[in-house]
Amino acid sequence: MKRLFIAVVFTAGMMVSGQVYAIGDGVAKAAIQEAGSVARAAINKNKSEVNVENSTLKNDVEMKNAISIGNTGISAKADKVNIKNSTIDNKVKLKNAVNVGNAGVELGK
Amino acid sequence: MHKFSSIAILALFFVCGFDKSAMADAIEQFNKNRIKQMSKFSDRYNYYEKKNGVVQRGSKNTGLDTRKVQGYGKVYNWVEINNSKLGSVSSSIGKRFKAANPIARKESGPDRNLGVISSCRKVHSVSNTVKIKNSKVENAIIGADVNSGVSVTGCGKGVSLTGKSIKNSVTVNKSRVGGAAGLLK
Repeated sequence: MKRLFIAVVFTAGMMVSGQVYAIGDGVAKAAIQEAGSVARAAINKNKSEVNVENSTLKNDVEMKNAISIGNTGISAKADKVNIKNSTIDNKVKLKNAVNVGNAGVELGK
Repeated sequence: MHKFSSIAILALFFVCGFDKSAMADAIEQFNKNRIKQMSKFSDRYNYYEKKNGVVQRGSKNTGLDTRKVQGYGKVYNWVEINNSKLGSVSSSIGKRFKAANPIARKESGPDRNLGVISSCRKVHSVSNTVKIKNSKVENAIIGADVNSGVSVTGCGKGVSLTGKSIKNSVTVNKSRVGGAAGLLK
C-alpha cells in the first residue's frame, strides 16, 4: 500500500514537472519570437524600399568606341525591391566600349 | 494630337514604300522637334543640343531634374552632343572635395547630369533620349560620374514606380563620358 502510494505520488510529480517544463518552454519560445520580430522591425525601419507595380521600364543603351563612367541606364536604388505586374525590357549593346557604372536596369543595391 | 501625327507619318511612309530605318529616323526627328518646341513652354520638356562646339538655338539645360518640375505629367528629355566638348577643368575644381568624399557624393548625386534625375516624392513617367557622338563630356576629377540615363537615387524611405513608364535611350559613339576622360588620352 505504501509502495503504491509512493508510486502514484512519484508519477503525479513527474507529470506536473513535465507540464511545467513544457509551459516554460513555450513561454521562452514566444518571448524569443517576439524579440526576433521586434529586432527585425528595428532593422527594417531604416531600410528603403522601391516598389515597381504595373510599370514599364524600357532601357536601350548603345555604346561604340566609347568610355563612360556613371549611370547610362535606369537606376532606382533601395534596400528592398518589390516588383509586381511589370515589364522590364533591357537592351544594352557595347562594342569596343568601356562602361564603369550602370548601363542596364538597376533596382536595389 | 501628336499620336495622330505619328500615325499619319507612319501611314505616309508605308504608302510611299520607304524602308524601315528611314521611317524610324523620321519618327525620331518628329519626336525631337516636338520636345524642342514644347521645352519653350513647359518645364516637363527639356531639349539641349550642342553641335560642333555651338549650343543650338532653343536649348535649355543639359539634363532634367524633376524636383524642379511642377505637376505629375510625363517628362521628356532630349540631349544631343555632337562633335563637342562639355565640361572643363576650371568648372570642376570646386568639386574635388565631393569626388574624394563618398558621403558627399551620395548626397548630392552625380557630378554632371545629361539624363533625368527623378524626385523621390513623385516619380514621373519618363522619356529620356541622350545621343553623344564624337564628343567629350568630362570633369577633371578621376572617378567623377555622369548620369545620362534615368536616376532615382538617394531616396530615404523608399520610392514607388507604380503605374509609371520609363523609357531610356542612350547612344554613345566615339566619345568619352565621365571623370578624367581627358586623362585617358
